Amino acid sequence: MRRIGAIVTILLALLGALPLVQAEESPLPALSKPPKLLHFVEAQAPPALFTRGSAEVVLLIDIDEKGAVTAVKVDKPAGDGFDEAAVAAARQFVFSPGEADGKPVPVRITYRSHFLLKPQQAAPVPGPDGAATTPAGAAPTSPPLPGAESGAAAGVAPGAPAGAVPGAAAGVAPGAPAGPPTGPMIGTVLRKGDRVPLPGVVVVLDADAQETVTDTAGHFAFDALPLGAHTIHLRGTGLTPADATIKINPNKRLDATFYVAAKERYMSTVRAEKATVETVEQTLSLDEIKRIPGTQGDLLKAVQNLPGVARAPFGLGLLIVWGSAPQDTRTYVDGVYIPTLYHFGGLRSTVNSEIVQDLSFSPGGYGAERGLGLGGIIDIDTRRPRSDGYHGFVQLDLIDGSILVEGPITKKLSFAVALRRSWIDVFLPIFTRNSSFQLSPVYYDYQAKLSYRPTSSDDLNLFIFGSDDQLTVGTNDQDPSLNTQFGSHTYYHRLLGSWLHRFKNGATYSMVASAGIDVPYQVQTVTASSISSIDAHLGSYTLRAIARLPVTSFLRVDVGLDYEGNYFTLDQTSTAAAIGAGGALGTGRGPNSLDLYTNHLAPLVSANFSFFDHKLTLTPQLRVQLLSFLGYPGTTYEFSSVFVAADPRFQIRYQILPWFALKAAFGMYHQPPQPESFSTLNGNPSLQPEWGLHYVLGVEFRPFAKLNISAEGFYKDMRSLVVSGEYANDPLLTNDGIGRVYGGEVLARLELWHNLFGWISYTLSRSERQDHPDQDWHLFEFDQTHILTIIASYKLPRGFQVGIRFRYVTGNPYTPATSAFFDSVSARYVPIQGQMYSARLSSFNQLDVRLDKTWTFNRWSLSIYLDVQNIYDAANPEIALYNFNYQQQYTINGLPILPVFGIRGDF
Amino acid sequence: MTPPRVAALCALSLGILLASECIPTPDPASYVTGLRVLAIKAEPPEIKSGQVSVLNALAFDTLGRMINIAWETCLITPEQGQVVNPACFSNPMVCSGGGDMSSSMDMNGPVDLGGAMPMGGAADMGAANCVAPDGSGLSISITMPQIANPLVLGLPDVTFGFYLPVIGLTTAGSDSLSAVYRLRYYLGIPGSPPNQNPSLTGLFYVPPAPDGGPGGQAIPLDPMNPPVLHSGDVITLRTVFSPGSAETYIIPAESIGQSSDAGPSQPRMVTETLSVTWFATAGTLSVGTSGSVVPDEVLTMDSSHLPASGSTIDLWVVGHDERGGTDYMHGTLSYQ
Repeated sequence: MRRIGAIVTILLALLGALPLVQAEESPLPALSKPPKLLHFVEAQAPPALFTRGSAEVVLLIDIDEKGAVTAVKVDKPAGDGFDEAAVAAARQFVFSPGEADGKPVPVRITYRSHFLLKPQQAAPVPGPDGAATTPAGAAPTSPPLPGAESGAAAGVAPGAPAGAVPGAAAGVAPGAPAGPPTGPMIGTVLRKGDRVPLPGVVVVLDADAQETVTDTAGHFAFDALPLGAHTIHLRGTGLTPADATIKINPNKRLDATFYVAAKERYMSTVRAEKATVETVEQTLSLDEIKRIPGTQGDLLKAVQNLPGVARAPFGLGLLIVWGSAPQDTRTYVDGVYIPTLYHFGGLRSTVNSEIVQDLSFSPGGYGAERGLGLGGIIDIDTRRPRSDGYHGFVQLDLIDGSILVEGPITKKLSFAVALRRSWIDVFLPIFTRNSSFQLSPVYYDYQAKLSYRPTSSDDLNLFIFGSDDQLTVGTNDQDPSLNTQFGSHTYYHRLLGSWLHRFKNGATYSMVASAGIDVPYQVQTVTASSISSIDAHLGSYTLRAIARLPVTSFLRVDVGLDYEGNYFTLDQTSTAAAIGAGGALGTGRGPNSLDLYTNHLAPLVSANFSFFDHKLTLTPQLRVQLLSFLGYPGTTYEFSSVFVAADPRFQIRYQILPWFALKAAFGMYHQPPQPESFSTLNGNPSLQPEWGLHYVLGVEFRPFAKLNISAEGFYKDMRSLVVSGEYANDPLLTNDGIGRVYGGEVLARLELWHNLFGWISYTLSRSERQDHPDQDWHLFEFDQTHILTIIASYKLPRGFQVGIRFRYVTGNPYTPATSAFFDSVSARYVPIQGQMYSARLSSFNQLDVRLDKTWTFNRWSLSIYLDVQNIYDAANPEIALYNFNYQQQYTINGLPILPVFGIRGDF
Repeated sequence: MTPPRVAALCALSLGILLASECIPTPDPASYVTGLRVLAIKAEPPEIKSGQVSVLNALAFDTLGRMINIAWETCLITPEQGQVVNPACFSNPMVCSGGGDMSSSMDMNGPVDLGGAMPMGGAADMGAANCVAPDGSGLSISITMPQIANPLVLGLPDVTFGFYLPVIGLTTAGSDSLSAVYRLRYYLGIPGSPPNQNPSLTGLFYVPPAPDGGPGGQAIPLDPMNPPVLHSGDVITLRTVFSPGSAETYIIPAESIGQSSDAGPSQPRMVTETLSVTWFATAGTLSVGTSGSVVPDEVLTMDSSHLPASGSTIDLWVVGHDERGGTDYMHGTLSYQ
């Protein structure tokens, strides 16, 4: 009778072993010695193994300084009793302590229990000595050898045999009893295509004759193999089973490299648990996202597909989050604010996706470590450059080209450099040669990062990055004197230094300082008779320091300081008065120059309480926000103002069941007015900060292991919003505005499951504003009642992958013109506006399709893709316009069907 | 992301669509069809309280219907960003006391004009949310009411001008439209006389050279012997302002409670920029509606607006200065 047994494959990846008090957005701490499994207890497989055949449970195991297991948490459940079995067994494990700097430290490890039905039970055994080089003392056992899955031939780098072993007669030790001659072998297992070392791969020689497991560098060794041909079987979770033939020669040590195909392209990134997790937060990782249709592989563009994010007209890349204005949502790169996430047109993000570790998006109710924004927060964490060799990629498509190179400089120092430039300016004239308009858009961005890890307790990073967009639009009249040119130039550059230190008691201290220069906008219009320009410059300097202090087992206190300073200048010039006497605008009376210093300082504190084995977390927080403004220094128009605001915030999360959690958040937020608003000519130096309250209530639901469902309801109350003055002798800008946003959102996200992944997100919301107390409420200009996004991607055989994205969004509101009159002085018709934003454009619907094909070679891979946007050529109105006398209305539609072809090579 | 950057992004998107010619192109304002008011000329265009200006409307109906204009002066102060308060068009109350604004308008607070112009002493007056009828016809005489404080007329424009809106409800058959002339209020700034209308001295066409190159000498349009155009023809039109049409005037030091941030302002001498607007009942004019400072225009007899063969094409050019000064001329072309 066939015996039923459970094979437990354990992967205690060093990558997953880290001090128990987590570092914040940082590379993983290096343990000088990982914990080693000394006492192994086999999990008792539940009856469901009969029917399922296999299952995998991923556990997070906390190990104290003595090697005892203090907590076991299911990170990725398998259900059907597997979770309980794995946890019960893991609680009985005993480890040797992990060490950092030679001293025992508490460690959290990621542990995979793999249950597999096999005809003959093989009892797991504790790791041999060699396991010290295996991930954290793993206790590997043999998975089934070729059988259920056909073994693929592993790519073997011939280079072998190599390295003569002097003095050793083919593994026959001098003086040893005579036996068959042997030879040593050293092997390395790398992932095919990108040469990522694969830890935890079970290496079996000649069907159970010998076996071992690769270490974190993907290395393994056999000391004495009989001379002659052997078969190496490589097995592991997430790998395509692979077999290779080797030959051991006398007097030679065989060095061999095996390239193994990953069974799943979307490997979960084992990384530090984030120090702070927002109540509503979506995290995107590159492997999952870069094949979403319509994003051209851009991780950061994928944010626009998340719930709570309204669709920007023309796909401009404006981030309209939970009904807030685009400028209310702030984007941070490694903790440093950047003014814009996307190049113009929303075609690309300004930060290369390939240097991004992951991206967290919090649409509201975020914690005290961030501020100065009434909208959402986007946190981009860049990754540590690879140190396992030189890698990179080159990508070309119809929009731009980019290149990245990274690798080690020394053992402790690694680098990455990336550059991207658009060539729309090259292609566009081909299509617009006969047009009366000519466009010349150019953008580029760059990133260069140095990462230094002098000790296992310290990480230092130096990161310089930036982005530049230039655009020229001009008419192409036969008479040059009739031509008009419009130019726009924006850029930002940042230099960032960061330091993270881990204390032996589990505390961490991190500091990020940055300096940067920006041109938020710089526009110039040139006509035959006049040149007018608006030129804004901004110098920024920031400092952020956070200490995370474990006080007790259930309390961690975070304290910190967040400083952001800016020097802003605005110049407006015009060489000629505007034509005609139209427009009683009260502006444009000559040169205008604004100098503005802003200093925003915020001490912050957060208490993170965890109860009931981390099931209940309570996080009261306080951010004391000081905002100061100094304008026109040294002139008769000098003004200054200081505001102090205490922003309390609170988050709670209760994991009622392993598959169900409740969460809620509340927060107060203050935001400075846009700097140009302080102009005495175009704004009001007396403006005060805007502020708002966020209320969030939500649930998380996990009906099965691969499916996550979250739902949130939200309400935002915004006050002191900056709006135009109401009456003729009002200041041009006032703080009279108020706003409210309410709604709900649902996200159902499927991790890779049977080659399928994707998500469905839906947001129902309403965003309203009241500009002045005596006026009616009106819709916000980007209010979108329904936002539905469906994304699915399916992996096909032979390296093909197909993906779709479908979107349905309510049309944006606009203010209709109810009538118009002819103004003889300006010789144009002037509309009489109806109620503000009382009409809507037709709804938006669009289907995008993407097809990828990847050829994976041993040392590199080649991909091509075709990304077709708006495949059924839907006519989606983006702007409502009128003819000259406002009697006829028509719309400008978004882009028609747009195919983008690209090619990419990774090495 | 700052609002100006958002505007730049929108400009880019529009530019891309314009460049790719993916957007609809409705008839331009320069193509005259149906009932239109093309210009209103006031003589003189800038007056002080108690003085009279005569307004003449250049109105045309391609259907040949009789045109009538009912005039009224709107005494409702425009709000920020408005040239005329929209309330002037939504069945406003008729002023009981006629058009004397001195007794009925409110400036909503004190002002400081820095001595730049005479202010009178009234700073707190009642509001005048009404319109004053002035009569009807293509021509009308308007008397500037007593204005104690020019801010009752709204904020000044870029020329530091304050304007009294005169609304002409224009009707022809069942069609109607509203046209507004904003009569400039003379502030009496020393050294800055009232604005005068510019003067157009001729309407010309420049026939193409025999080799198809640039045209030669400009020829006046002769109503008795108009140039004959055919489908596909391209003709250059030209007008000329008389010398002295572009006047020099003074913009006083900043006041009105808003000050320049470039330091204390000084009065500025500004010379007007003149512009022309062309209209035609057929063909396509290269400059859509208004604002060209170059007095040349190209008329193309393309397929979009071809008249019947043997018909006459009416052509108008309207000249503007920056302060409401206007002049216009009419000409004809023949189409075969």
